[in-house]
Amino acid sequence: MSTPTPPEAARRAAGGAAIAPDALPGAPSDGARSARTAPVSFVRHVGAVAWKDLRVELRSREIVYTMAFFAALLVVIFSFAFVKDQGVVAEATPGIVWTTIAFAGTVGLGRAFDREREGDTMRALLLTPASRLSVFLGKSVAITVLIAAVSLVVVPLVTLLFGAPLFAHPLPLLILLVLGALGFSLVGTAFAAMLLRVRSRDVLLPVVLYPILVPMFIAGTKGTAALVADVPDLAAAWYWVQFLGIFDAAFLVVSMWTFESLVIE
Amino acid sequence: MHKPLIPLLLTLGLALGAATASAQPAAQPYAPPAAVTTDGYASPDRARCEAELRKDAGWYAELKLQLKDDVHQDEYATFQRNNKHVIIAYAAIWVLTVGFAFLMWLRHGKLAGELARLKSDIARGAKDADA
Amino acid sequence: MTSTPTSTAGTQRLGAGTIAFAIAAAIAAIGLPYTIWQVFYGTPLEEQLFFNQKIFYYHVPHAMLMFATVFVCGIASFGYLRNRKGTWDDVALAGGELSVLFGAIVLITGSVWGRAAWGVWWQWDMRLTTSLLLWLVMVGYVLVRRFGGPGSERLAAGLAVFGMVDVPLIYFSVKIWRTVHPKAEVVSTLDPAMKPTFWLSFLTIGAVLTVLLLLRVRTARAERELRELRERADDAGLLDG
Repeated sequence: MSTPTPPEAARRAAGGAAIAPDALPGAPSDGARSARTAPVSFVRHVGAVAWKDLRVELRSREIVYTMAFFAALLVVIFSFAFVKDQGVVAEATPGIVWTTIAFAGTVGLGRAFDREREGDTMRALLLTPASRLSVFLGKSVAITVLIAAVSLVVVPLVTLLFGAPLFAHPLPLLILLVLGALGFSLVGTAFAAMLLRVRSRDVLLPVVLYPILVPMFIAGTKGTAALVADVPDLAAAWYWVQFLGIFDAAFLVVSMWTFESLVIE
Repeated sequence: MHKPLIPLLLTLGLALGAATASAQPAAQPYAPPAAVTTDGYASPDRARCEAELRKDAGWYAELKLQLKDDVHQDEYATFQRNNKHVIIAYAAIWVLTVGFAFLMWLRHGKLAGELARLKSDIARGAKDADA
Repeated sequence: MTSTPTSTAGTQRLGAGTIAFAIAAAIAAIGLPYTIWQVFYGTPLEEQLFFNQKIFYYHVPHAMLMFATVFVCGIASFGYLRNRKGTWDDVALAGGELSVLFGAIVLITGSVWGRAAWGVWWQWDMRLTTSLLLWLVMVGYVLVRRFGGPGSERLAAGLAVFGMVDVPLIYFSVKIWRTVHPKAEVVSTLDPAMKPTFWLSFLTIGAVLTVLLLLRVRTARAERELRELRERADDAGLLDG
């Protein structure tokens, strides 16, 4: 290796980068390279993919309607367990909010990727000049928006039906929900994309997703609980907000590292 | 072939026996000694209770026995001698580890057999193709 | 560049693996009886838990080694995603399955310990909860390997990498959630008379783990070879009859 043979040296001089992407699996593809040189176009690609998904959804409203209805059903079902003769078990509301969002989010996630599979459009999407990374981030953004939309239904509904003071501190709650939705969709998009060609994906998605998301559930529930407690503990809530921020950042980095080599097409 | 199963089953049975034995309510370790501060406390209920106690000597003796340190000493000794839990824990470790190794061994044997069969099939197929 | 160097590297690794296997098996064979003797006869009784504390010598090393196997699985999976060599995948599978085995041992012995020391079978104690949550990740991994069908290796590898990153996150979230038991470091506060036995036990169980890991890697390799051979024979049309 110390003394390269003439042809090898010539090849290196000619530009190692030109041969590298084909020689090394997992090396950044053309799209990723162009993304590095042109961050603006990268952001535009992310936006385009996200907007494509959201426009499809706006046209049919299938996922949002079914997710929201499913979430409402879940909240009602939780009431069987937590509504007692004299009022409601107040400690249960954070758990109800986050469990509902997680279940509804899984349903929406599966459906969003089923749509790509049915039209066989995932391959087309990956063949566009947009890098795989921007496809991944675009889809995550779209799913974050869908989950946030469902939270917009769940939180008022829980407030209404269980009388929980969820709107006492709207800003920390909003940040918690947005960070939670983002974390869910980052991990969820990575796994749903990997599962696209796997036989029993409907069963396996929650099996692989929920254990990984456990820290997010703990942070979300405990943060919300700190906000709706009789004596709200804002310091604890902000701690969990920061924790969720770290969670999202960690999985953003891991997803970006692994997504290139994970999606099978 | 099934000979290794016997010790495995024996160990499993032992562990199960130990587990069921332990399922019976065990004495609570570290039950705090009942506070026996009797001096200087008076109430109508206490007076009634003492009167009742004096009437029934058997009950009095029984209560007094329960207040003795010996009971706690006994519990303490039980806890000290307790080896049931250690036996359960070690049985679980051995059963799981040996079970895993055993299943892996069975699986590897099956795989090796299958691999050999596949190779002979391929060799035959290649010969047929040549012929 | 494709097949020949890989196979020679494979045999070389097999050689190193055989040596490692022999050493680990020797340590395990000698160390295991000695450790058991040392645990039960060579170490003084603990002052508060008495005989019950003997669980500790096996419970804690298993817990530490479970974390090690999770990292073996995660790092091997990462390597597999990077260079797509089947050997990495074999190691990842072995690490994943062993972390489930060791996790089960940790949870059972921990639960028995809880019963003996605290009077309850399950305590939402920080360490036990962390182990449980991590164990769930690894059970998910094994389920994907078993039921995912073709193409699931990469999904499982992704799950293992995500799970490895999840370890500190689970640890810290549970730590803040369960601050009810702010215990000091267990091992460093251990009675000096018990420390040698503890580390001896750690070494022996580590040797047992290595033996099991290498055996499992061998089985995983046989599985993969069988699969690949069958695919190739099918492609060549040699298996019509």
